[in-house]
Amino acid sequence: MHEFSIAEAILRTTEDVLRANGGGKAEKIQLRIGVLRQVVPDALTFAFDILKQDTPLAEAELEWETVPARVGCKSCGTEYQPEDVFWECPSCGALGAEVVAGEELEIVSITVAGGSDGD
Amino acid sequence: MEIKVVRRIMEMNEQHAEVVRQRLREAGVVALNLIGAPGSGKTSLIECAIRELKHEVGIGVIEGDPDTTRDAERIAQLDVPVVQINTEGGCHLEATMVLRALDEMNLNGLDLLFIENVGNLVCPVVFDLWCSTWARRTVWLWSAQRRGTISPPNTPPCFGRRR
Repeated sequence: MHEFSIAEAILRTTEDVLRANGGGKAEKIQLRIGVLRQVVPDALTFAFDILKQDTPLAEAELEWETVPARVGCKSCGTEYQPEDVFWECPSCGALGAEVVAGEELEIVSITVAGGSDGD
Repeated sequence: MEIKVVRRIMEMNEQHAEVVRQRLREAGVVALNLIGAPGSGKTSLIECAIRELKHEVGIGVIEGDPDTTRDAERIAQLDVPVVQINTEGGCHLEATMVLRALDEMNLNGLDLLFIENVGNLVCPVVFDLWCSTWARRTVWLWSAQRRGTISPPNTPPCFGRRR
């Protein structure tokens, strides 16, 4: 259930951004989450819905784009999408690779209700 | 109105991780973050290491558990400094918790710090990705005979990852 920690961090970061942009209520928070983070969508929504109560994010919904894993072979440099956990290079057969994508955990944008008077 | 931001969600954890890293580096302490299934032998390994090494290197232990001080009591019997973190049901340690634990521990005279994570093969690993330098090494334990059918393919990020 690391989703609770993630939801809490989303809440805190969003509140931070709202404050810096003159306040307001968030309607939508757009995320990018890499598959290697092992985030369970339902668990994240569940945690977020509990934590957002009585905050400026009370009406906010989470939306996200899942980023597939991409790794680069340590031997020949070929980039590929791993099929299973063994990360065997389809080009040279070597095991072992560096993560190129799939570890994202970012807030991409926040939609705020109505207009904004702030700058 | 849409506000475009690209903010890493775990920024705070990463910042605290950086403070942990700096403190350990200044004190010349190598930290090992032990991740393993419940019952895989994390505490036993630490006990063994203490018995073998404590006359040659200064060892400290941070014990992470959802509840109780049982593991910390086991370690304390071996006469090394130990701080217990109770996560109150939480499934992993975060850098902020480790930072608080470091406040309670005198790093002078220490060379090696064991951080025993909560027994879990998923969540602690995910957090470690976010702060891969907060412990300078991570040790993964896997005890197949005790955990029945659990195996590396069940928990890929724990075993199939870069070191």
